[in-house]
Amino acid sequence: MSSSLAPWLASVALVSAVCRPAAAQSTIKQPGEHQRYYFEAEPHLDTGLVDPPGFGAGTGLGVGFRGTIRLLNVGFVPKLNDSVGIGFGVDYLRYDGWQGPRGTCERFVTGPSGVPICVQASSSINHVSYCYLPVVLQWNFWLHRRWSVFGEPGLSLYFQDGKLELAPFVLYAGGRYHLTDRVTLTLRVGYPTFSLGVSFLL
Amino acid sequence: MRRLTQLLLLLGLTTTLGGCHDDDVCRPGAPCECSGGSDCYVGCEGDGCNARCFQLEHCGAVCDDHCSSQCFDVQECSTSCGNDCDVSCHNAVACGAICGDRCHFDCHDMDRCGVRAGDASVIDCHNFSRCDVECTGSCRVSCASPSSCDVKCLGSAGLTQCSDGSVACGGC
Repeated sequence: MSSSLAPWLASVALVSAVCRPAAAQSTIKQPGEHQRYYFEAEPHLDTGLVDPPGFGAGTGLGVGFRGTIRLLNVGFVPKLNDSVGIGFGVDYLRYDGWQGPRGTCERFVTGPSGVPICVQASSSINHVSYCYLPVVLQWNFWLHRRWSVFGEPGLSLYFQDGKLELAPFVLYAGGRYHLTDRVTLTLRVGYPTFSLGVSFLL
Repeated sequence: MRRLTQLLLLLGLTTTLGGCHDDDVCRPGAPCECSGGSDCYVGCEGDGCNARCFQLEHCGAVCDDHCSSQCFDVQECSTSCGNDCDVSCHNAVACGAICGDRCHFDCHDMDRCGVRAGDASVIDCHNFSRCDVECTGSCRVSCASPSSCDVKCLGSAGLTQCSDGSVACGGC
C-alpha cells in the first residue's frame, strides 16, 4: 500500500466509525418506530417576522399553544416512519406596525390663519394585537431517536383589531429535538408565525 | 454540552431571522408618505418621524419630537408635532402647524400659512397671501412677498422689528 493512500483510508475509517452509531439510530425507514402518544401539548413563544394577514405589520411577539391529536400512527408513506395528526392552536401576538387605512383624523384644532390642524390621527396606533386560531394537518417524519420533523398546511381564523377574519392558507414546517422520549424542544417556522416551545407527548 | 450547542444553534437561527424585516408603515426613522386620494392623516409615534404628503385634498402628520414633515400639491396641509420639528409646505392652498420648541416652519407658494410655534423657533413665509404666526416663546419670523406677516407673541417675549426686516418675539 502506498503511503499516500494511508491518510485517506484512515479518514474513511474514522468517518465510518463516527457515523455508524448515528446511522444505526436512524428510524426514518422503520414505520411506526416512534413514541406512541395520543396528544401533543405544546406551549410556545411566538414571533411574527413577516407582515401578518390584515393590516398588521412589522414584528410580532407573543405566546401560544398548539394541541395536536394523533390521527394515524403510520402515515401516508408505508415505507417511512411517518405519522399524521390534526393540530389546533391559539397564538396571541402583538405587532409593532400598522398599515391599515390612513386618513382619519380623530381631532382637529383650528390653527392660526384658520387652518384646521389635526392633532390626533387614527393611524397613530402603531401597535396591533392578533389572535390566531390555526387548524392544521400535521405530517410527521420520525428521522431519528432524537429528531423528528413535520409539515403543517392548514388555515387559520384570526382576530385583529376586534374583527374576526380568515387566513385561508397557513403553512408551517418544524422540527423537534427530543430531550426525552416524551418531551421535545420544538421549533416551527412558517406563515404567519414562528414559534419555539416545548412539546409534551401524552 | 452537545445538547447545549444544539439548543444554542436553534436559538441563534431564531434570533437571526428575527433581526430583519422591512415594511411600509409610518415609524420613527423611516420615511413614510401619503399621496393620491382625498384625505390622509399620518400618525407616527416616537421621535424622528419623517412624513411626506402630496397630491391630496387634505393631508396631515401627527408626530413627536425631531419630526420632519413635508407637504405639497395639497389643498390643506396640517402638522402637529413636538420639539425640534422641521415643517415644510409649498404649492398648496393652506398650511397649518402646531409645533413645539425649536421648530422650523417653512411655507411658500401658499394662500394661507399659519403656525403656532414654541420657544426658539424659526419661521419662514414667502409667496403667500396670508401668514399668521403665534409664538409661545421666542421666535424669529422672516416674511417675503409680501414682506409682512401677522405675528403674535403669546409669551412674555415682546414683538421686535429686526434690522434685516424680520420680526422676532424676544431679541433679534
